[in-house]
Amino acid sequence: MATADAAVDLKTPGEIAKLAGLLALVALPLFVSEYQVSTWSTYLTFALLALSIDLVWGYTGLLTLGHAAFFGAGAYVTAKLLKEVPAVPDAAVVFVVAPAFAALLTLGLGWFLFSADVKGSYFAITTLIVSIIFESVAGEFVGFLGGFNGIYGVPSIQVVGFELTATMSYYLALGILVGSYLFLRLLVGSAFGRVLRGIRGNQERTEFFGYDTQRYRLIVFTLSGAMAGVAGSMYATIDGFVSPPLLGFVLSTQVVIWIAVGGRGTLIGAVFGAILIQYLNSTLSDVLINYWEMGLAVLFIAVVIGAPRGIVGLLSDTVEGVQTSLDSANRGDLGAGGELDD
Amino acid sequence: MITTIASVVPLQLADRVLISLTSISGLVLVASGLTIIFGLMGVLNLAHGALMMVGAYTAYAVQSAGFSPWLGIVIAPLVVGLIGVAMEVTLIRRLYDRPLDTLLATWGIAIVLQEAVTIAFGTSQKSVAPPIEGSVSLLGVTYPAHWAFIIVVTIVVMAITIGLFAYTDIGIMALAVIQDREMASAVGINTRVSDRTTFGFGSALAGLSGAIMAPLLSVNSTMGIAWLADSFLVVIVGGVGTFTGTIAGGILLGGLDNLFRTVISGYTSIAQAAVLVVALIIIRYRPQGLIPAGERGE
Repeated sequence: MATADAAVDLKTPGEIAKLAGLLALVALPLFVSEYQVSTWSTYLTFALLALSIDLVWGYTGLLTLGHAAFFGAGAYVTAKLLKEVPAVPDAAVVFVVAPAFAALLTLGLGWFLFSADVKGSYFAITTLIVSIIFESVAGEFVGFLGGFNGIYGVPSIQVVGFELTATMSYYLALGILVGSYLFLRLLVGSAFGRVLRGIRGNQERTEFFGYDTQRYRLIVFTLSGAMAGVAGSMYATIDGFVSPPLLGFVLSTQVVIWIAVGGRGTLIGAVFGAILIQYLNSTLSDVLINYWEMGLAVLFIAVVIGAPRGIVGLLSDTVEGVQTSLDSANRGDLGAGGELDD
Repeated sequence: MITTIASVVPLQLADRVLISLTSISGLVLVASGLTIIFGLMGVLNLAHGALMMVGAYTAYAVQSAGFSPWLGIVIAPLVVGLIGVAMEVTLIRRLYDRPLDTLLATWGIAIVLQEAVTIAFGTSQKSVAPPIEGSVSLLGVTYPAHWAFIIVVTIVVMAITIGLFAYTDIGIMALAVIQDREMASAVGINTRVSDRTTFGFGSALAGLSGAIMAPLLSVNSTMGIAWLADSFLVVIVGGVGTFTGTIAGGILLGGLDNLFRTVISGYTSIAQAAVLVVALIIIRYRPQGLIPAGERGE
């Protein structure tokens, strides 16, 4: 089943659903309060973080349990620069400095780990520990990073002296998310993406085919770090407050749960899972308190064991199943037999 | 790792040594269950910290019902061992050949346990009384008797566990199943029962460690997270699959923790982070750990 990943095919139900979702997100600020628009903006930045993790975990098979460290690094560097170094243009901070800083961190860590071929569960545990280190170090630098209280009052982005409103920040975050999604879709559909999936399936075999998998893993981890950095940077300008938990492993693992439930290795599943669960979190956690977290954890376990491709995988399987049966009904009795020969 | 100890006592050498011994024992004790579940069975159990936490809460529940602290230490491993068996039967069994999914599913279990404890006991910190009050004199230092108790329990538990896997039929059969499932099954071992018992035993040790360590810690539903990371590091740095490795890992990381705390006093988190950095460097340059497994068969 070679689905054309790169081409946008408006005929499939999946593409129609994605477009409908996008339209809903575009129209959202018309229907909710300005405060809620900001909340939704933060959902979008976390969805971008989820996308960056899905690239590394879902496509390359490297489970990172510490990606919040790079999200938080982007958030902290943005908070410091926007508050204390007004000379640097805000756009440069968000789109150049923050991703470059986070990418440097992932490049360094990636080199450190991949050069010794740290992978699988050891990769998961080492990235988790990096996240814990970042969180505890940020909590200890009271003077420079605000310690456990974090940094308050990060201004929102200014473009040539004009401050973005909450709604404009929302559309900026949405634009970055959609742009990143489309870019990653091209990337995973390309020859490069096939090598990534090769590494996920069987790293050794991919090496025997002549691919330098260490370099591929390093590139993809660094790229993902840069995306996490932009996401964190946007988060800082929208929320105005950064604190050590943004770097921590609780956030890192939460995002992994969102992706797993949405559907890993599908890109859209990461975005869908991140937005859906954060929304449910904000509406249901007041009513159900701890039962909500518990229910989510049970759902997560069920998905891990029984439906590795998550909600998106289940939906697309259902749609495909319906389509196959429709197709074979249209073609009459010969249909089912004919497909096998393709 | 055990913040309460470091702050109470003035820093003399004999004190330092005893504090280090206690915290090393605590680390080894908490990691001992993971040595079996991760080290021997290869199951990436991210619920280990949560199991330890449930052990601590069991001790608390027994005490607050008016029973002796000793009873809590007896009941905690039973309760947590049963939870472990239930985990194995329902989930882990399906995932023996999917390590990363095991890691994710056990993290899910950790959250379920954490939330269940919060629902049952609330979010406030609990304190647990030690089974032995009073103090003992060691090396000219007056020393809480419970700290000495922790050291003794750790030595006894490690000795029993090592003996169990080296000399008893159950232990040797468990090792046989872990090394070659099909062959073990062919010679008539019930591999399913063996897996279940081994996993249950490792979980019971986690529960026991929680009940023993509880008096030193502030007991809350998220206490397991820090111990989870520490346990994994002790097992990996020491050498996956050996009990002596776990002891070595505990001595190195616990010792470094105390050393860094003394050198960088006032910055506890920085000292802890420094230990983690050392652990990362060891994992990177010596992934087989300090005392690697594999020298078992001559």
